[in-house]
Amino acid sequence: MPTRRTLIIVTLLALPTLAHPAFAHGPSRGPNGGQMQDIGSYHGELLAQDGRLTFFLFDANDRPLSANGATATAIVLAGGRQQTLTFAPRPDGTALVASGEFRAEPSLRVVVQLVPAAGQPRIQARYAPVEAVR
Amino acid sequence: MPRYPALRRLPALLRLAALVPLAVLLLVRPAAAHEGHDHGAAPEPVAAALPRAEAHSDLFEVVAILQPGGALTLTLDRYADNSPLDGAVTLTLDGQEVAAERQGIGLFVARHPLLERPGRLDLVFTVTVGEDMDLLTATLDVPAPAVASGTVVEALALLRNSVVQIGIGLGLLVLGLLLGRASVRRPLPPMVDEPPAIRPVEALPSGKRRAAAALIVALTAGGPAGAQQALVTGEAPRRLQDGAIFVPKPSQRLLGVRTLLTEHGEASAALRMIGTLVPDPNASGRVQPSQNGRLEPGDAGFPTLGQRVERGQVLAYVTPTYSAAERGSLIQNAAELDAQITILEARVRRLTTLRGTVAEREIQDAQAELAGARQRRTAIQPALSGREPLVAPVAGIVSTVRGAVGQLVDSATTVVEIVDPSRLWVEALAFDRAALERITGASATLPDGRVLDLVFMGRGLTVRQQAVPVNFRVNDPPQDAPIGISVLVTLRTARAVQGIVLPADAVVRSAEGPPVVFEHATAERFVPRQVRVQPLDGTRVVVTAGLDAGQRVVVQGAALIAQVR
Repeated sequence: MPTRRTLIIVTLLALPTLAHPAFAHGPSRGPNGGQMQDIGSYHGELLAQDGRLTFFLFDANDRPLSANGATATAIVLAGGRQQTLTFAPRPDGTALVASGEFRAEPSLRVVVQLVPAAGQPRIQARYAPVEAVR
Repeated sequence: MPRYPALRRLPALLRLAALVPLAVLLLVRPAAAHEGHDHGAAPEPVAAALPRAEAHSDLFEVVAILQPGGALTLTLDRYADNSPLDGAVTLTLDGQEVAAERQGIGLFVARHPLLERPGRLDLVFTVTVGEDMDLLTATLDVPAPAVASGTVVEALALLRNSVVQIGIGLGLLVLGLLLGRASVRRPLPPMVDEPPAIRPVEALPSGKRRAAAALIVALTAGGPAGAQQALVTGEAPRRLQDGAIFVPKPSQRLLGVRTLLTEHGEASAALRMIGTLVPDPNASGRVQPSQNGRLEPGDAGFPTLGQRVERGQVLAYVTPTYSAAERGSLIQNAAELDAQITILEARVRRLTTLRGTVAEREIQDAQAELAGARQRRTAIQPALSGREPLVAPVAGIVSTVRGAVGQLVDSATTVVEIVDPSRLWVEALAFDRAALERITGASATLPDGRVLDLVFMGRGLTVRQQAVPVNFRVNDPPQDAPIGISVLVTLRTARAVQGIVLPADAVVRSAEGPPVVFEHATAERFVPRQVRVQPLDGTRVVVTAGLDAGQRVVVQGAALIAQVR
């Protein structure tokens, strides 16, 4: 049965690639429509609109966490210009918000550097929050 | 005053014993200087490698290597094909932007005081290549410079581990030295008292031995430490315990490693067979004499290899050779004919003067008889003194010459072979007759790797060695194509195969046997992947199992990576 053997071989060879951390959580959409990424031991969702970044924090099981007490900065690369923005918690404490001068284009790249709570080490993640229209 | 060898050996042993801890100390320091541990998610770091960080997007791949002394070397490559990119890289460390100095194509160096402070360091790379810009992130673990700091438990475990290993090694060395000394042939106690004759002879090798022992100790103390140093600065590629191969970026640049992002495709299946390069039957020929004789040079000398000849050109002459009896009978025939011709001529003359009195028929008979005799004489003449010209049957290049001036050749001996190098064929034996029905194309691979395009010409109906002979014409053959050489013929058939098309160079034989390709798993790790391949043509193969689309596979330099031990 060559086809079955092929299937087994392919499955076995595919397993390590699936287990690879880089592929464990590929860029995916979060519940708020932003891009989900691993950030440290957390998951973070970044939603980008023109001039405005919104960051939602989740735990490893994708349960929302309060953004109160977290401090974060964003390095934004847009239109050939790099700027650093500082996030501030939203009044309801569910997200962090930062605003700056940029347009939400597919070439937008954002690096979020986050301290989840005072005294914790800083963690960072890279986002390409706007998907190119296919 | 005989001195016992055991007593003389003692100082050497003492010195050795003193050197062992020293050597251990020397070896331990560099081993413990690096702490071989990284954060959890990344693949296990390579022991004895410099602290490094890597990052990639779908466009770029950046590797940062922290050199001893606090300089951060950055390499910038295209993610898909691993070719170095000329651009600019800016580093952001704790909110401070540090421009990396360009050292060459895709090579940058950045310096900053933060790079010398131990601990985790978040790096953000801003990469600009032409119009493309990207942000990449990585985390660098800057190691503590001293032994004591860092994760103490792990450092201790590492230290103990290397000490144990080195200790065992040195213990074995000492044991070996002792055994070697114990097994040295000792001079027998002298029956006759002749100490002065023996002493100098015995003293010299002993001194040499001691020097050798000291040298070995010095080498074992200095050797591994030196090797460690070389590893740290040179960073040799090596095979890791999990079978992956660690190739540092500088080595990848040196080896010219290039990759390809795999994608599924469809290709026509191919069939391989062995063929032979032969001359076109309509553009090649042999020159053979029709009778036994002696070779003589032609008008332009005897033909030489590589000489261009035209059709009809006389290459050589063959002078027939006869035995004495043959020659005798020939001369006899000639003499008889000569005599007959004289008689017949006289008769014809006489009859013509008597024209009118003798019958006209009689005159004509005599004339015909004379003409016949003359013709027979002419026919004999070349046999007596003439020679046979050997003529080139086709235009082309003299390919073989078997014979020399003055050589006696039999009839039907091939003296010269002529080939037109611009018209070559390939003759192959096909064992799979069914596959021949749907040939869409063919190519031949020469032993030196060149690929020739073939055109199917025809096949025989009579099987030869249980196979069907198939003929192909070579399209535009190279001038120096060696005739008669074996070639690998690849037939493309109409049957389609699904898989990943790769250059043939990407597939190498693993030490275990099955073919493997090397996946560029992370920036400096190459993972061998067993694959099932089918040939496509001389230069490409199709991988039908073992690879997925979207993986980076080494297409250039795979053979060099396979040699890393």
